[in-house]
Amino acid sequence: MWNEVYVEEDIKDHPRTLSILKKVQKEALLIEKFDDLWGRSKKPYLQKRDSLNLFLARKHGQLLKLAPDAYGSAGEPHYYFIHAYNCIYECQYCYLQGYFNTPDIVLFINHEEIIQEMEKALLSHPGTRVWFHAGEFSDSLALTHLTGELELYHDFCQKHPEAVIELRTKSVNTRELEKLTPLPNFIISFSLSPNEMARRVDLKTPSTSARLKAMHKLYELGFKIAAHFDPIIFEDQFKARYQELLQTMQELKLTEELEYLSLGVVRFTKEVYRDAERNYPDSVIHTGPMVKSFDGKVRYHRPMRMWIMNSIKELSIQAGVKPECIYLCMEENA
Amino acid sequence: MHLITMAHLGEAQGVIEKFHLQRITPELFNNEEMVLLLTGEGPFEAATKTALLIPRYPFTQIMNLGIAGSLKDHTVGEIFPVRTLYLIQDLKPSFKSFGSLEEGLDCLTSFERILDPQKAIKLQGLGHLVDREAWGVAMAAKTAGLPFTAFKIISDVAGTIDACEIIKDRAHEFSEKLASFLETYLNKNEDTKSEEKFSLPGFHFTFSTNHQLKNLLNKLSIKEQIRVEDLLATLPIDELRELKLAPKERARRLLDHMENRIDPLKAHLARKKEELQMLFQKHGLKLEIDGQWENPKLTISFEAGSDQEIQDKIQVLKTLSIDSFTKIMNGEICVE
Repeated sequence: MWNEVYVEEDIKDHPRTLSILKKVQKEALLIEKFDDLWGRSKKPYLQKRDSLNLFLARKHGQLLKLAPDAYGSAGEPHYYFIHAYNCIYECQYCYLQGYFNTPDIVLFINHEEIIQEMEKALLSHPGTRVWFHAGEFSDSLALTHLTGELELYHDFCQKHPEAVIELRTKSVNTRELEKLTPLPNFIISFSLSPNEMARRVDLKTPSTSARLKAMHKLYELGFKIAAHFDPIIFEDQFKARYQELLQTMQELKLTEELEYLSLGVVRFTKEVYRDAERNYPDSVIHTGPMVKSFDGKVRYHRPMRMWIMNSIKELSIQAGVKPECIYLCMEENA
Repeated sequence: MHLITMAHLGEAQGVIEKFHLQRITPELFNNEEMVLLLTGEGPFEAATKTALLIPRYPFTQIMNLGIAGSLKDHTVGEIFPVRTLYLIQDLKPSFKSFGSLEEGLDCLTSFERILDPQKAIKLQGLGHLVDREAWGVAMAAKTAGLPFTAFKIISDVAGTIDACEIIKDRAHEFSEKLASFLETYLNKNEDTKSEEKFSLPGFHFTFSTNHQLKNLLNKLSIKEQIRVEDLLATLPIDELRELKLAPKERARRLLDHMENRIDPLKAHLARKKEELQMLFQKHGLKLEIDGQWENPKLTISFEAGSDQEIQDKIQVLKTLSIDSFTKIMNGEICVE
């Protein structure tokens, strides 16, 4: 899987580094700082298919970032924490294809320091529930069999009931998670699309059916679960497709148990749209009526995206999702 | 006209002979279709020499051809297309990289010869090959807006001290192989130049509507997952031909049909907009809606020549509603 594995000198003896290296079974090349090589030159995104490098590093600077207003359910502070850069999956709409200069993956190993920052954030919002999201720059479960950090974040949640952690994923790699005790403030959220659309655009990811199966397994184990229908990509039969997806979720008793369901229509920054056009010229993601929208992002025009989201919201409620659990993501006046 | 760049005369000898190139200067050779430039080693030398030559000939494409050391396990003597070119200085990559072909190996152009195995190991994650000039040629080509490709023959394993000796010993063999490869490549390229075209008798497409047609055909073919040929059979081409319309109008209607298949709300929105505008117009009011349907607010304007006229318009405005517009902007649309 890995072309080369680079490790920062300073962390070469860190137990987490040694554990990861043992699992990847590849000799490490030592470097001073990961960004001496990582992102130094513009490496085309699709080269991740055959020459993906892994960097193990210590994250300096900002470990926690305040999320934009419309990021999660409204009224509470939302942060995302950065435990990795880049992802093993290849979703055609992913903003990571235009975000960094390289698709090479960085795994940060200083989770204790990230957790310290999370504790500081809690202190700055006394008496408020504070959300921490993983998975902004990388899938939060896909590599957990290598990284082994879940327990630390789980302990944090146990210690701080006022904090909520969301692990956002398309992965079915739940092995490490299953070793933990479910907590009310430790939520695993799955990004879902109708099966056929996921097959077309979520390259190298587990199928929607597999994701639902993993979701169901976690639910059965007592974990709190959530879902993101995001990004929604328009197709003529979108209502029927989402109805089918929701029906399957309902059959698995998932719809009524969702902590929340976010709905978001496909959107891009201008730069990522260009990158996606270049990387995936034959993708269905470019076939809709896109316009430059209220925040400069490229989206379907407003009547269309509101129509799509209203329709799917309605279908979700019919399938048993509690209306108060549904929110529209990154949408003005939503 | 092709510009072929190679670093040294030793590598280029085969090309010079096979294509009967004439020597113009010690570094420049040509025939009627091709110019060969010997760039020497070093990315800046290659960039400068290539950039200075570009304005002197009507080049349509630039190719770098030559030897490279392998950072992986490639067979010596094998030729590979280059995918991406990176510049390496002090074993660190510089920001700018250049694309060559869709598929192939990644080449690192280094300021120094990589003779130390430890150095070679550090570079392994960054690319497959090491050379001394291709990045410079690519930079000059891309700056001039010319298509660039590179092909490399594996001459040695990077990081071996005796690499230079091996290259010298086999220079003639490498040079012959590169020349044969170039001949095959150029012939093949000529064969694939013909462009696919189709025409629709009875329809007139201008330059821009023709571009629109191709774009819509492509989008619909992707969206509906059918081949363009099959898609054409689903379009109302025959029906439109039977209508007594000017060929240009026929083309416009066909494009409208295709656009409505891309955006099923398009016709609905256009109709609603027209209805609303007519309603306001009837009362001497002008109503403007964002053409992109993005602004959730609309503009109403009117002309007035007296206070009374203003009062009259205000009275009329009180009786009018933009509720249908608000509903549309909130996605309350009934389209099946």
